[in-house]
Amino acid sequence: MSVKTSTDGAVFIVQMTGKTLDRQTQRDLAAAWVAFEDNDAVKVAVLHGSDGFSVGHDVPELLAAGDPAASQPEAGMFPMVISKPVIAAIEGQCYGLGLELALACDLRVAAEGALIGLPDAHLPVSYRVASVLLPRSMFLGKSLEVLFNGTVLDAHTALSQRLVNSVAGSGGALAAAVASAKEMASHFGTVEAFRKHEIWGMSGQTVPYAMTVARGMGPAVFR
Amino acid sequence: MTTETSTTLNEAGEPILITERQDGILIARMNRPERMNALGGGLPQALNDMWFGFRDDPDLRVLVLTGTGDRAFCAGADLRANNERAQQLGATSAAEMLAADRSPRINGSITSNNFHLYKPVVAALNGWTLAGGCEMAMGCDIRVIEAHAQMGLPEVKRGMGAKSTTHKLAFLTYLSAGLDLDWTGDPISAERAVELGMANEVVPTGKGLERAIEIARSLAARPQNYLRYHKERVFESLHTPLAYALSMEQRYPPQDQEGYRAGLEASLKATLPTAPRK
Repeated sequence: MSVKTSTDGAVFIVQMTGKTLDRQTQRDLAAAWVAFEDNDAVKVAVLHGSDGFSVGHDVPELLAAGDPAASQPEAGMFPMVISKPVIAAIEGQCYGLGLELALACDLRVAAEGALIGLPDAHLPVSYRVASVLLPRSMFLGKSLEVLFNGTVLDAHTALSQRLVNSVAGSGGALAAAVASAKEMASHFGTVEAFRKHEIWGMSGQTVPYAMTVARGMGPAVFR
Repeated sequence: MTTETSTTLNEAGEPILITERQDGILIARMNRPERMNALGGGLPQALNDMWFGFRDDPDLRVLVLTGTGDRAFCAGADLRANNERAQQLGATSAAEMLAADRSPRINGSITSNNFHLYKPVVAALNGWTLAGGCEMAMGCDIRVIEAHAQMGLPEVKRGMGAKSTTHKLAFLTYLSAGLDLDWTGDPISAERAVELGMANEVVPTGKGLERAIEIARSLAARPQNYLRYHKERVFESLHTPLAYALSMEQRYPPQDQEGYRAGLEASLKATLPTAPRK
């Protein structure tokens, strides 16, 4: 299996077993997110890799497919649509499509020694998700630098640039993410799910529109 | 339209805008040190011509913008020159002045047209970066700031409006920091500018241009369709609803088949970084 899932109390743990996000991994991730969404006993998910987080595209697979359309991401690459929180635990290399997947998670924990960016080796594949999500996470000028210049950030720089939420010791990203997930799981309910939906769904909407939607939906949720 | 050094002269008899080509890079230096490189005396027109000349020249890939001296990158509109121009025109309001000097390509290009210029622009902030000068810096993509330099929008203190800045404040920094800058009019230090996203990095005094050129060289060496594509996509998707932005991305093919294959083959040979890199 390219994706292994397990549970630790109310925490659902998703592990990518390969270094790249080949087509099969992306599809298996989609199945994992559905399993997470449908299981009421788990409240928060943690996503991690086995040897580093992920170096992104499987280039030989893309070459074999030929058509640029084959680089289009599968549904598994968009965990922000799941109603419960997903935390990315980033250890080692997190490049290209791997960074795009981490950006589509709600929170990111990076370990000391983590390397995050869109390095030159990935230039031929345009980062269509990163060009949307990076400037919503980092400052605009910094996101252009990462997109233009193949910048690779260490964990502390990523923290100061708002790309990750916290830094754990080397080898400690998974443990830190699971600890944070357990804390979150203890109070995660309908209201928090509504907030996740509202934050992602209203990203980029005008404030008057977002306020109108919030007023309309609020009473039903809080009743 | 030209990318040549301006024929308009400053008070010392030197060109008001000095340009230099280095391979695919255009280095433009505002040269009115006696007026803190303020926007007057023909400098806005020279910048405007340079800007469009850069855009339209297929051999030019990256623009580097800086100012002469260590006092100022650009202190904004030259109020003395504005006053002289107003007297010359007999204008009694800002609207009359704007009407007299308006051209479809002028003024806006200096501060706002970067959003429609899909080539990278790097600014080296070598000193005071104020008002219109700050807006111009904010219109660039990557800003390197020297340790002694400060950025600010003092318009509010003069009862003037920073007309093309308000939207960019929210783009570049975050809402409350942007409002703080705009409402207090107080300048911020180089370190604070980086903390707020107003600049990308601080470099020692005197080293701004060198670092900006280093960044520009690295950008000029990359596939240009990639840079153009990403700049276009970033600016077009920014502050649009997320679901719309993501679905629009999927409609754009990354690039032509041939370039795609060649790029993939090159990336098979490339090694992945094992350490952070700037």
